[in-house]
Amino acid sequence: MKSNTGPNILRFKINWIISGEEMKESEKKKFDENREQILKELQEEKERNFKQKIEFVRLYAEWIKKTPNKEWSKQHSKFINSMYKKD
Amino acid sequence: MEIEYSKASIILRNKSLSDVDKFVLDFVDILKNHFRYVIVSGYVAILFGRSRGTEDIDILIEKITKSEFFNFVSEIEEKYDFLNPEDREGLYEMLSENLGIRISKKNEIIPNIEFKIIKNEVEKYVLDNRLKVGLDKNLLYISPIEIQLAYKLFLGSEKDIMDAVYLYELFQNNIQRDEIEYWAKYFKIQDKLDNFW
Repeated sequence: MKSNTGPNILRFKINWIISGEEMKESEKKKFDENREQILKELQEEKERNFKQKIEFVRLYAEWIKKTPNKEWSKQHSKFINSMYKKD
Repeated sequence: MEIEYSKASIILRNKSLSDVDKFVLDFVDILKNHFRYVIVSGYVAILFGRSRGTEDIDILIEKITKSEFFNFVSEIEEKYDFLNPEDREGLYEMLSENLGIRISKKNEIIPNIEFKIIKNEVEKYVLDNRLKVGLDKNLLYISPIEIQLAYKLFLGSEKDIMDAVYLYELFQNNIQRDEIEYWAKYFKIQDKLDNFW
């Protein structure tokens, strides 16, 4: 069964950062105890995200291949230009 | 995408050029009158539609003398900046030591050209076997796709692997699989290529 300890602890940590309160010893302990589980989940998420990005690149390449040059390049140049836009 | 692909050239008509394309084309239009060059790395994928930005465009050139370099500098210095603080003597020294020098349009930093002299047999191969890309009236030279793809896997960052996937998806019916395998073996990344297929 998949544990949801990790995300709960992360949420707690975010609240702790926002509130600016000191972290209690008992809370620190909770982080330490679940460290390996959290890291495992983050690693799995990283791998999942990477696979999804690769899938998108394949999908995008398929779209480029079947779209006329005029059309894909118009969208592409707009996107690329937006990245170098000067204020 | 309508392309005409042959062993030595790719023709891509009716491409709406981005500002980065125009920057590169303007630069190589001057460069070609001075040296043989080849564009390598990220821009190759971007040229064919990969949707990501880049700070620099990597260009390799043949071995050149100091006076050839100085002539080139004289021609471009009105329109372009060298981002390195060195004077032309220092820039040539950097090139001779296999370091890249960065060139941008006047008063701009990004995008810029990272400009290097070939330093080994592999880079010489890339330059000697460069692929001509015709973009309507414009022309530029890029690395052969096969070695580019294997090299991207060798580099191995997330961005590089995605560039390799993109190039393969786009050109899988045109490129030589055995050449990719040769370069993968050369770069000692057969395991990465096995996962890649």
